[in-house]
Amino acid sequence: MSLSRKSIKIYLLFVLFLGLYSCAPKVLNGLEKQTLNQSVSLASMIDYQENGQANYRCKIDAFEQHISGMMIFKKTEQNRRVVMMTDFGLKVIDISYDNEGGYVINYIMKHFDYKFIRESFALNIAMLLQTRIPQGNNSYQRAEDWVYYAPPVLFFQKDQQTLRVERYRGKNKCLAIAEMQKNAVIRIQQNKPEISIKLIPVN
Amino acid sequence: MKIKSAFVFIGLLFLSFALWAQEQKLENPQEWITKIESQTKTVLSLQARFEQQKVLSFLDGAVISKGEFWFLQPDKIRWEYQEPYHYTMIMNDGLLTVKDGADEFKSDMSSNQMFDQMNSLITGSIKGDLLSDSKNYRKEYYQNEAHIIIRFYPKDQQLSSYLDYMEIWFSKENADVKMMLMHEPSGDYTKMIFTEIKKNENIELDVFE
Repeated sequence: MSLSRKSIKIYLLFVLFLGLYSCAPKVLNGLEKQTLNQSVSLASMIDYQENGQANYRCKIDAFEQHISGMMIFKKTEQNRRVVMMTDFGLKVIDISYDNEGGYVINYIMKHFDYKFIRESFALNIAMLLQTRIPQGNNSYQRAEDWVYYAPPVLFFQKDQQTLRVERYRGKNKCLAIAEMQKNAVIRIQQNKPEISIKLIPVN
Repeated sequence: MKIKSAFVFIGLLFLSFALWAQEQKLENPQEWITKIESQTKTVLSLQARFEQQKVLSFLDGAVISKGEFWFLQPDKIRWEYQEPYHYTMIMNDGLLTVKDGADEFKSDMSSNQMFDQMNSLITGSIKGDLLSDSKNYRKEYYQNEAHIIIRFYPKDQQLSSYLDYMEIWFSKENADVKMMLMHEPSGDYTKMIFTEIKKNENIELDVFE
């Protein structure tokens, strides 16, 4: 019995889907893989004070608009809370993240309440907050860097410090990069749609 | 017994202070509005220091920023934040400029509805225009020992989605704006406290460049 053209199409799409989502990003090609037999803790990119709070000056460029203000991070044992405010102090967005990577948007200003803005914002900030790579994920060694892959995110660590985080869609499509720069400044760059976030510590 | 009486006395003293400091409904608002309007109409320029206190329910204390403020009739404003991070916002002829280190951003305020609304609120409160604006705000009037407090509830749906109400605290002594409080629907709020207020002193135009 021969397969119908429709069945072949579905099969090919399935194979393509697996190819996109089951493979690690190309940047890991040639590196030796180790499967983690226990979870690994990563250093936080966010520089918290003793009270679990971190204040950053935040500048966002997106959709030909510029918005600036303060971004406040607060960590407790149960969750992380992130709030961005305008220069006048009005809240723009307020998100709670749990320790498993889930998030809830508690508030978003009506002007910015669009699905793609909510998701982009939440996922880009989540890149800065994850500090645990669960057991069963893979680690790679690249020169002096340790690279951890918890799909769809890659974490690059050097000297116990997380310096770069990349968020992928599929094998090679890097959607966003969060990078630690001089003086603990963090820059997040997202592609398509292009969003640039700069965080300057003001503790 | 004497110690117990002393504690009761101190308790009553604190209670009476608390009641005294509390806001009360203002019975004769029109009289005060006229007085404030006549004072604010004479303000051609204003310079002050400010402290911005942001209170978020999940934080232990307020997030505080400090700086300097300039205003020149009819609508030129400069906010210079100096602590804990230095940056400047200038609103001049419908243009918003943010200077932040080496970065400088300019945008047309008419394309940024939120800034436009906030700018109108601030200039309107200094110039006294808000007091007679019944089209856009419903008002309530309070007082404490030193201040007339006017609470503005925005009628505009967009504005009321992020601003529950705004309070302006006018000094009873000279009608200066001593504080602005922006209360959000979530209960979080921002206080802008003004000190060292100087009125009608010469301000160079390049302050707003």
